[in-house]
Amino acid sequence: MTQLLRRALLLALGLYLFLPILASLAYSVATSWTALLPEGYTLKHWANLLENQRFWLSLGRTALLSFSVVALSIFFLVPTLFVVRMYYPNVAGVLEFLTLWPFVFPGVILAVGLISLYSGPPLQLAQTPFLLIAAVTVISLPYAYRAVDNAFAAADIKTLAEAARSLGADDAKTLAWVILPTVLPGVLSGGVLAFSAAFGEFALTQLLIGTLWETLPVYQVQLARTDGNGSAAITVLSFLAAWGLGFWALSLRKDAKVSVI
Amino acid sequence: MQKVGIRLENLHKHFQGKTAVEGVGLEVAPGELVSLLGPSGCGKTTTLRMIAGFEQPDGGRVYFGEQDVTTLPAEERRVGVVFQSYALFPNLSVAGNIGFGLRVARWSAERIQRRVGEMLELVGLLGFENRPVQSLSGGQRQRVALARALAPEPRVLLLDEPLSALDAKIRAGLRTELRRLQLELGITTLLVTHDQEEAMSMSDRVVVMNQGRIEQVGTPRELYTRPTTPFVATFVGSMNLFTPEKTPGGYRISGHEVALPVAPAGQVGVRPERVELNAHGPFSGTVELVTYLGAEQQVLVRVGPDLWTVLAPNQVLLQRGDPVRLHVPEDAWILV
Ligand SMILES: Nc1ncnc2c1ncn2[C@@H]1O[C@H](COP(=O)(O)OP(=O)(O)O)[C@@H](O)[C@H]1O
Ligand SMILES: [Mg+2]
Repeated sequence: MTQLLRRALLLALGLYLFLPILASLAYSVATSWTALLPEGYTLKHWANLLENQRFWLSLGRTALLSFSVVALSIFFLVPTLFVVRMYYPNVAGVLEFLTLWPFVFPGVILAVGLISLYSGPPLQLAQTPFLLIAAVTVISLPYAYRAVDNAFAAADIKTLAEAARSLGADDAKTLAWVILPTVLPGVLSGGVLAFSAAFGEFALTQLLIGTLWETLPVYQVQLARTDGNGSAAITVLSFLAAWGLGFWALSLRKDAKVSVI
Repeated sequence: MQKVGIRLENLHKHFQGKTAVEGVGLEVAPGELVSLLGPSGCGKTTTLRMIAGFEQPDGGRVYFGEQDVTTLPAEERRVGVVFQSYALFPNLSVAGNIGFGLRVARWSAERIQRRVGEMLELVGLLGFENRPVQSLSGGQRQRVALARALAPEPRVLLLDEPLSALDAKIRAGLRTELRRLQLELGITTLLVTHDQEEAMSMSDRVVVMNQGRIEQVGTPRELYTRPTTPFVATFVGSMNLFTPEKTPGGYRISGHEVALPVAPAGQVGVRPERVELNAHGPFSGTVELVTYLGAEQQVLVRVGPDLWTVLAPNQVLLQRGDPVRLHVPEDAWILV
């Protein structure tokens, strides 16, 4: 491949990725946009959005959902992966396969199944945020799993733990002084991935709880029908949040000098 | 430092029905360096791990001096372990790594600092205390790992292929240094390696293992000059090995009649450097390959059905296809 062609490809990819964001940004500050370029610019849509209580409430719910998902993912993943890596290395493959299942199920099937299962006793959870948080945790798990598992794998946890034990450290000290600090960057970066996945979740949320407990993506879709410019502003906000988190995760990785992805 | 030896009694270990270690018994004297040598998968690491306490034997006992440590957890055995992969703690600096065992043992901060300084000097890394371990070369990392293992004054030192991940040149240097340190500290040491040169050059005694069992134990010289099994004969150094046929006048080897000093029970062998190119030798053959090695040359000679390896002085000019005659002095035959 010639250098020119490589550059052209890179440019095309860049445009493909950034043009929609630039367009969203332009649309969110446009007065009206019918020709190639907007006719005028205004901050009115942003002001409307930021004054709207519904926006702040849905943002709050989405934040609650995302942080809960991160906490639950880490809570389930870290001890499980530690035990698997240390004592049952043969199970690792099975575990990885299991975490891929959420990708296999279309959201509709998952939602219908969950709703019918949790509509009656013993666990009447349908249409509650609890079921939503649990379900989104499950479908976000593959993202977090990759990062956390890679952190465990890259660090060769088993040998590190043995080195610590030969130096007199019991299990508690081994975990606190060696294992956790070693996998922390990977855990955080897995958390960021789970956060992003949960933050943008729409399909399952719409089906499980919809406007009863409106999250930001659900509100955004509603808003798009009446106020396209405001919806574009939310898109831009979400992108900025995602980028911020992404760069933060990258910087953590560099600090720790442990490859996690 | 109180010196203790290691005694292994009839150790057994299997994994999922597959035998890894079978009846290993061994005594390492206080201050001695003993190597476990053998091909990959013969059970060396498993043996070392049972001594360290990382693996529980299915049968047999492990003693440090008079103390039975078979069921003692690893963290209470006071062993120093060095791993092939270094296993340095990535979240700690060089000093943090070396001081880890001391911190666990609740030494005071000044004592830790002093001891870490001593250890850095011992392994030649003064001035490296605040470096992150990721910034070190392989050889430096292994020095840190050694310093970390030695800092808490362990009763025994266990090294699992400590030099195998390093470049040939660094390996050779560290080999000498490791041995010098071990002699200086007088610490009882077990070294696991698949590299016979490493085992031979560093050890007081070498234990040759094969398929979970001990084949032979001896000083490097004993193993080389008096191997007792065909496996040891060929694994330690190289050896021309034959199954002789009894004839009325003596024995037939490679289709030629020879006299042997002792009646062989099994096979007989001769080291390549003990085979002489000699116009009156009894074995006639043809040169198949000449490999120039600098100080000497390795010559492969076809003699009847066998291919002999001969180390010859390189003043003799030989070519593929040349007819040669070989002679073996009577005392050069090794019976295994
Ligand atoms: N944790 C384990 N699980 C299953 N098999 C093992 C385990 N550790 C070692 N083995 C097997 O035991 C045998 C001896 O292994 P090892 O002691 O590591 O050999 P060496 O160190 O001499 O190369 C090998 O066949 C290896 O596959
Ligand atoms: Mg091994």
